[in-house]
Amino acid sequence: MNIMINGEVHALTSSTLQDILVEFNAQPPFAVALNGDFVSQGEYGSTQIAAGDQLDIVSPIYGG
Amino acid sequence: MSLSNKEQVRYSRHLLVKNIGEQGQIKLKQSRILIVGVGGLGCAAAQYLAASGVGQITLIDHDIIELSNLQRQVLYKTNHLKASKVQTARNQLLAANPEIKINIIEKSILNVDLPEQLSAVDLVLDCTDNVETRRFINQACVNAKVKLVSASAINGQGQLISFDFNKPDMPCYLCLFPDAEESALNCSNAGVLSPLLGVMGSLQATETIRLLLGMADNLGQLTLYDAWQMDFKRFNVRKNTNCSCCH
Repeated sequence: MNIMINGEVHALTSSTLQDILVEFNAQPPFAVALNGDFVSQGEYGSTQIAAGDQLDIVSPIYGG
Repeated sequence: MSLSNKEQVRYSRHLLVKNIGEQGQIKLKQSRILIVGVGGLGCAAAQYLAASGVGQITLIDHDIIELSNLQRQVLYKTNHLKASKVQTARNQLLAANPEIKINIIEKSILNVDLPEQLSAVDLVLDCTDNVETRRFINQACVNAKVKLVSASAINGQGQLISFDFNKPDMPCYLCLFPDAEESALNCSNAGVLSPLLGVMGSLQATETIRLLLGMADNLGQLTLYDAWQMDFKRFNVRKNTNCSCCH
């Protein structure tokens, strides 16, 4: 299915957020927002992703 | 408390703003804030908050001014090299606005009795530059239920988020970024665009004034700014019921 990750369309086969992050090879540390709302790490496995969903994978910035 | 005639003139452009007015300006005068880190973010935020008339500002930083700071830490000039950041910042801020009070603590935040400091302030700005201090400040603000406005910047990207830990279901910084590991990028290896610190420090100052005036509609939302795309994005952060810091 096609989902948007950081503004670009990606064709991925996984259905849970956890598996999609592995398939996408997201490099920690990061936080991930599903359709504008961040998802807690503990909920990655139980969060189902549907075609057309929008994911934003955000790395922390610590500089100041 | 009221405004003197001189203050009426100094802050006249604030008094004309409907969202501030005389009552709002008095609120700012009565406010006490703590700025941790007087680098790129802290210089910008402190400059605007001092000029705005926030009544009492405490600055914490242990660093001295280096040549490589001058590209973005706009309170400091070439004749300040090797001088203390907090002492120089205090002089500069009081030169801009002698009506306010500036306290300084020339120590690393990790060596400060932060709970004692937090008992005497309304709000904290996290303007530091590493994960350890950000986690330390977040935990102390959660414990003391003090408002926290956190900003950060690297290369062309900035992040801003604010919290009011008196409110139920308020997330904290660790709900968003629970991992303790340092990000791969920092200012020393990835560099940072000079005016990005002005943008993020000014957003932090704006959010601080909004919270001091009671505008709470942006709490718990992460704002991302990308200077190279000239793009803002905003995301909701929810409280993590398993958060190691605030659950």
